[in-house]
Amino acid sequence: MENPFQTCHDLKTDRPDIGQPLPRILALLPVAFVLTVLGAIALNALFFFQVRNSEQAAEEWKMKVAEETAKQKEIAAKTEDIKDEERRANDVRDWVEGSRQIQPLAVSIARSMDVKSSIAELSLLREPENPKQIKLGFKFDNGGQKQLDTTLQAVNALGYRSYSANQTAGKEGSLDYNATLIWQNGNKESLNLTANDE
Amino acid sequence: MKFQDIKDVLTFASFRPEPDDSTVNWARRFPNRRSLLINLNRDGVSWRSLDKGGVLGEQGSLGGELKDVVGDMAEEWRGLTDDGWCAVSVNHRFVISLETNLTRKKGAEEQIRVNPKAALGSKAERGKRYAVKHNPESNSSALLAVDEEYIKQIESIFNGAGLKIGRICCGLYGMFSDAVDQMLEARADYLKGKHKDPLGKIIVIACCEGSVCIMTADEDRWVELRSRSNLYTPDELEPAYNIIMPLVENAGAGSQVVFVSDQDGAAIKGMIASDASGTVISDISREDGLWSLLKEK
Repeated sequence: MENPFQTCHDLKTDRPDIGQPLPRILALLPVAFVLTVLGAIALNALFFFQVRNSEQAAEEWKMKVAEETAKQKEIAAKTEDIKDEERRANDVRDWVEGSRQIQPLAVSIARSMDVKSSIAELSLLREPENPKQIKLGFKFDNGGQKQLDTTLQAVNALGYRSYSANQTAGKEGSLDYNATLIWQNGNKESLNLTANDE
Repeated sequence: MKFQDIKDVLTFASFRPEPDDSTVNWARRFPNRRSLLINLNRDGVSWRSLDKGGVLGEQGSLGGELKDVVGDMAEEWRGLTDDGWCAVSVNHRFVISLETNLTRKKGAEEQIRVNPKAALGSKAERGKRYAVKHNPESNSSALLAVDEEYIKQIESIFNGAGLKIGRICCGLYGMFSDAVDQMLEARADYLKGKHKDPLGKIIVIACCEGSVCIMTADEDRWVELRSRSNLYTPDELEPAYNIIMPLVENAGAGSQVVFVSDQDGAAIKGMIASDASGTVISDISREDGLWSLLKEK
């Protein structure tokens, strides 16, 4: 109730349920409510934009993942190509390494021949599928086993080893010798040999 | 809890006084809302609108019976308000008297409104509504009595016209009470000043819309009070002069007059001043006297 000096008398019939105004301190409640509602709206808006941004970011990441996966596949394909290239290069290297020059071998065999011995037949065959191996067909007159050992020693000196050897002795020191020559990397003298393409 | 209660809390309406809460002044009850101030005379009605800023606006008056005037003007009056709320001042069918030894127990002033018999005892008349103004320095009181039937008639007519009544008061008594308050305040200040001379007799005169109330105070005692309704008109001030002057003359030279009136009664002060030499007249009238009182209190 206000100071009676500040209010005028009243003669009307009072309504029985006239209520006093609530204490001003309680006005904090609707203020808090309004602030809460505004805060909720603000947070909702914030979350809405965050969700939208995160969805966009997820889409971007998915696209990036797809791009990276495609790149990865491309790289894998390239790697495979490189491996193929490597395999072919290895094959070429093997072929190159295997395809040692036959001429030194033929010269070495010829020089190993004693003055009394003579070469009747000499064949050096190399198959394209397996260039490391050289089929040696060697037939000479006179000298026999001794000449053969000398010749094989000369062949070995060039870094070749003989496998699947087959020799047939003939009359008067002639001998027919067939073997497969395989070039050995570790041979010292072979380092002096040059490849065909050099 | 009703939805309306929740709505009132959220819109802060619950923290404002209700429009018909008589314990709160008019300005606080209707902040930023338009309302209407109405004065009822015996032979007509005058009114003044109050805008949202609390500034007095459109005014008018119409002669005739209250019921007819309200019937004619209700629609226009509703248009001058936000929710049809109005303050009504009755300016006839009232009596202001000087009483002594009225109870001053706590809550007596509120009790006099709802149960006058309990507050006034044998002085209460059946069919009257009362308001009281106590002299804080003595056992005397100024008592206002208005016909209850008239109040109910006003309420019925206004409610029937779609108008809501926020206050029914007696404008003259309100102006008189305001003048008495200022007189008591001035007297308290004078006594605080420890003056050697006594203050002497003070005559409080209130004039409102043709009604007059005069009270003589001798130091701390209220000794005489006279009031008349519908006593004068702007063109005929003589009846008011005739009832005021005997009390002013009885008070003698050196007495002081506290004068308050609306514009129509302003000339009365001049008449008193010309015939009561040696009497100091303090005019505390305000522009738009009754309307200012209604809108502020």
